[in-house]
Amino acid sequence: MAASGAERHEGRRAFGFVLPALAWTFCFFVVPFAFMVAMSLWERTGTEIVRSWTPANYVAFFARPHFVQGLVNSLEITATVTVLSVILAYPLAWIIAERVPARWQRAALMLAVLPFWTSYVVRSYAWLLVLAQNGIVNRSLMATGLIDEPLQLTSTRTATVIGFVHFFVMLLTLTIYANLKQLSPNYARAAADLGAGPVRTFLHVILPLTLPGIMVGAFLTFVLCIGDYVTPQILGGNNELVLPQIVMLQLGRRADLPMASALAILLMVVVTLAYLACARWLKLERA
Amino acid sequence: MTADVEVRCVTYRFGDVAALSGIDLRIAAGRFVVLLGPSGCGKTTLLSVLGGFLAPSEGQVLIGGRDMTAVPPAKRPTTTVFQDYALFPHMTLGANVGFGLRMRGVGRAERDSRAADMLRLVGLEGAFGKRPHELSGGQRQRVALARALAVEPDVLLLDEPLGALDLALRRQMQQELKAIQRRIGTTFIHVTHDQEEAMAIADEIVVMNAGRVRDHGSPARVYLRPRCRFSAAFMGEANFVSGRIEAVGAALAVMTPFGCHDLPAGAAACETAPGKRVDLCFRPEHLDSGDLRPGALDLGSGTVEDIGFFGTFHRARVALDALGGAPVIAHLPQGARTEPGMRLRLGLDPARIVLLPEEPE
Amino acid sequence: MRGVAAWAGAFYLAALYGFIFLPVAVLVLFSFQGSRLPIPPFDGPSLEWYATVLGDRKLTGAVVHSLLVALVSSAFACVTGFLAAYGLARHRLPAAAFQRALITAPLTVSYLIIGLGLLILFNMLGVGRSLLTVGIGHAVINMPLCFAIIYSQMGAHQVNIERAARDLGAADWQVLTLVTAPMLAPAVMAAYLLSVTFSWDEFIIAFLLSRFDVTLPVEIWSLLRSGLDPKTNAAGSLVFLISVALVAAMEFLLSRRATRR
Repeated sequence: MAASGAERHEGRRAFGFVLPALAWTFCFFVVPFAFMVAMSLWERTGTEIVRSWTPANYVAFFARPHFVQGLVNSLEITATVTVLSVILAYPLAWIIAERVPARWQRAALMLAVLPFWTSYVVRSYAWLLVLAQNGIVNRSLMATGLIDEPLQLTSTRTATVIGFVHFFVMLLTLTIYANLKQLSPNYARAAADLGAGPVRTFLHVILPLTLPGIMVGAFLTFVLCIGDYVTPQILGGNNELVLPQIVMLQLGRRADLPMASALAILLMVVVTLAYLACARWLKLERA
Repeated sequence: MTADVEVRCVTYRFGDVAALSGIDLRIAAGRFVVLLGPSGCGKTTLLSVLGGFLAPSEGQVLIGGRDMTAVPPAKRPTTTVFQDYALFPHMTLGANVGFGLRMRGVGRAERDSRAADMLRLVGLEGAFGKRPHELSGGQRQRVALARALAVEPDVLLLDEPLGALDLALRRQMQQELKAIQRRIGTTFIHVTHDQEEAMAIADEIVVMNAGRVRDHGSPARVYLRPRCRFSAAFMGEANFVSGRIEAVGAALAVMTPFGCHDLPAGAAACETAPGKRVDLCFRPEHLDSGDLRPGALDLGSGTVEDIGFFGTFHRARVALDALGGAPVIAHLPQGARTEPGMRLRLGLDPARIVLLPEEPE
Repeated sequence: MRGVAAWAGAFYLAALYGFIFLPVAVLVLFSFQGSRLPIPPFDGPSLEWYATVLGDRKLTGAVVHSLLVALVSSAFACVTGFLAAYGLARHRLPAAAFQRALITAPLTVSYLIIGLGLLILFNMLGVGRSLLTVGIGHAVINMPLCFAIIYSQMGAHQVNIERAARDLGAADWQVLTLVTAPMLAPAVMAAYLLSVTFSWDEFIIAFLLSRFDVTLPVEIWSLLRSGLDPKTNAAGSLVFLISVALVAAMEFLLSRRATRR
């Protein structure tokens, strides 16, 4: 629509509505990010930060094996968590959406994601309790005679993965459920009408139709998982560090803001690459 | 409170596309006018221009003789009844209807009493404290009407107000709208794509297509003596047959596929000159079958291709020999016993024929 | 065959619910532990650890700080987000897509990176870390969230409702305060509560940007240094309870909105 005189005037005033949000985002998101980029190109020598441009921090990242190993750990854990979470969450969402009676569905879903709302520090601590040397898991396994000695479960990659999967199963159940409910029941009816059994209906109709939604959920999982510090720190301990832990180490022990910035930016680059891959896939899927 | 409306050469462009081109329209005060046309014809755009929601790219809008082209909606003596009713969901019906008065600084007591009066006018007395979500579609429609009328506009604009209602309710609301308009005398400008609705309620119909006014007159005039082929076809089913004017005098001699005939001079809805090509237009209900009445124009015989029963008549598609087998539509009496394949002879009162300027289909 | 599938489904459902609730159940159960270690066997119930938590000035102080930060920063995020959503949904602005993208950009970035960026900014400006800086950080992550929720609820049908108000003589500020805001009240409240919940639970930004006065998750983090402790269980259970209450309030608001439609 071509704006009328009155509307054009209104348009100028309307900008006033958006201005606070834009100014806020600019001051506390764009500017800090710019500072972080600048910081990553400076160097910390001794206790001073030298403000001369150098790619030294990025070079250092690839030169130090334990940094690269951190990135590899992050990617491996994130990939494992994403795949496991999708595999576990999809059947749960499907059962709630298709097999639970309609009047209980909302309650079943709310219940399934209730622990989602515990703060993640508390949630990771709770897993620490469960997986402890004398925790409930080890006690049960020993009581059934499956093991004689308690297993070392905490401070392992397994514990990190369990903690993450617990959280992301809930998140993905929410998104996949929403996705399944959006589908018209007539798709399944049409497939059945045309002679497809339940399995083929699912494989050829329901699954492909929900795949874009799953990809979006998986991407969300990837982003949140690879950037998280708390769960690996509490459950994984210091044995196999992930990238966010290494970032925090630069801040804590060494107060090396430039190196931390460079690592954070590398983390963002990884997320951006994942985003581009995901967006490209979705685009291909729609075309 | 009522006012006349004048639209002078209004053009409205969405980017490069002209949604309205060169609209000229005069509407006398106190009339019930329907803007009629297919979707995308520009009727709703024209209504938005009248209401002040869109400013025309060119031209002027005058209401009550005053130039309103640059006046915002709030300052115009118009109010709009929106297609989706646009009731305020968080307010009671009373607060909805009283909203315009509140904006005009009317005190609460008077506002409430006038809102109650308006609700009574639309048949919703006692519903003052209800909320919009408690109402049916027809009731919401009435509240929207009451809200728009509460501020006593000079011109009420209605944007397909009955579009969302089922058929029976729509008929009833048409009667009520007309009765309310009679009582208060406000100029109503009503947009619809339903030609039956237009004929049922309008004092005047404005037929629009592709951003232009194609016809403007009383329902009977527009139906019986349309000004153009589009108007004729949009108002109801019509048959078109090509012809040529042979001579112009007290009567018009027209060469038709059925021979050369004299038609009344008033038959022409276009300029007449010997040699001019025209379209003869006649409605299916004006065709007679069987024995021809005296003075009737003989269309010759044809074969019934298809027939359907419509309650008050049979609708027959007849392939006429004189047209080389091209069909015309005829409405046959309820009692007619006609089967596909039968031969029929059709006749037509020449006074019913309208000559229209020839235009491509 | 159908029976087997139904049993398999029921078993799967039970197993997954078990997995999901195991840590929470263990957390809450051992918050009532009688002895000093929150591991089996359970020897409660005892309210000793809740008494310890409520008597811990640092913890109760952290609760107050958390609430303060959550309520104030969310109010700011919500109002700013609402105004931006109104401006962008109701008016044609130049580069609207870019403005939307900019406002929602923080949603795509890890909290760790947002926290680190702000830490660097405040360091360079010489601004000391405090609850104010934590609040700023939480407003940065919650404003785009509030914007997105409210923007998504500003449907096209509401445009006509606001037009109707204008048609009846309402000025811009009257449309905003008498029509738009009340009409969107459920969405705005839901956005506010979600924002409060996120702020209440947020750790990493609060950890990076606070110093002497800390929020509850940061205080609990420091409790973890003492290892497994029923006191931590009790504190965690209380945090969980409050989060669930917030979510329930939000759910109530949204479902009421759904039935009113």
